[in-house]
Amino acid sequence: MTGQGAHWKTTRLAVALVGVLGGQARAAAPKPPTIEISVIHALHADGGLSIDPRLRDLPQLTREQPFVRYNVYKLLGRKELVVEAGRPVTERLVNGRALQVTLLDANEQDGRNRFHMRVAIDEPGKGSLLKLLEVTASGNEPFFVGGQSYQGGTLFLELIIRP
Amino acid sequence: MRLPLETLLELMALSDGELTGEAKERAEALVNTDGQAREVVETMRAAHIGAWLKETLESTAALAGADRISDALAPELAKLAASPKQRAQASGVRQPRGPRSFGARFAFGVTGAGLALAAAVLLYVGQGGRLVGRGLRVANQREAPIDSALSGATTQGVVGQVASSEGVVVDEIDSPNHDISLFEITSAGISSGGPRAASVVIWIEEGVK
Repeated sequence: MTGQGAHWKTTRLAVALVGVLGGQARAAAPKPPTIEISVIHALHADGGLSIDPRLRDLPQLTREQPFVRYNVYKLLGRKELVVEAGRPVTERLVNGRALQVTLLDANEQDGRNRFHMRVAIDEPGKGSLLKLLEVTASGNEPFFVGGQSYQGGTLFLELIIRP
Repeated sequence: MRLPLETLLELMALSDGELTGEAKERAEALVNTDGQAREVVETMRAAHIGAWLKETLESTAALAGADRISDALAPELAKLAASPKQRAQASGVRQPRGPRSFGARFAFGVTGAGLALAAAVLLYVGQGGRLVGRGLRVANQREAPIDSALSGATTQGVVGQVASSEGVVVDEIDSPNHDISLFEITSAGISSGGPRAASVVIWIEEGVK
């Protein structure tokens, strides 16, 4: 690396540090929202109800359709991805499909943040399972996409936007 | 500041397009999951910062060491960092729109003129679930009347609507060749942390029709 090259690198690093530290110093700076994606495997099996303890809210849901169809629930994975307006984030699912979530916009309504999102599920080499789903939800308000067959059961995708 | 120096260097290399293979994937994954990492890369990539920086560097590099250059740049960059709008413009990030009227509703679809149907629609209301279409594109193209309710009728070409004062609004669904059902959830205590939160399950039948 040349002397000037080294200077350039060091300076750019300083730029990044200043930018990041400056950002941290701004108490009012909004933290970018994240989308929490939980992949849940649901089965109907002999025996009683079995719910992965990490699915803290599911017991209430299992009394309602379509959750009532299954009695074994296991969390296969949970991930939180930063979302930014207009920039899709993609998560590869256990069945090979790709879940894509795009934050379209966010605004405040009646004192609550409302997030308008677009969701799609594609399978490489095949058509879309879900070509387009547009949903508006408040922060920390989950919604689910279900119905994908997986290992004798089905997958529920729980999506929650975290402001 | 919690990102280690070597990670910062790697992010810098990513912003320069110098990373390949596993290192690139690792850095991109970090950017996707870590706001601070993303901020570093966006700062690096900000076009106007880069141009100005390069100009500044070229004019001063011969006269000063890198540390002194960094010291000189820091106050200016700190000012820039203090302006979210500028930062957003620099990174090409779209700013959220102004207030959008979603209405106080829980929309599964809209009747009549508000719909764009890509295929014939078969409707029924099942126990707790509503099959709203097959190969259906349900587009909410106008503000929905708040008080309209799901018709409950099996009527071709018409999709009902459920109104609610809170919860998730399904604005549009398009799933060619698959049956779509919507289930309203009214249980208390779901992840929202709120006292009661209406939510929804969008059910896409796996089998292609």
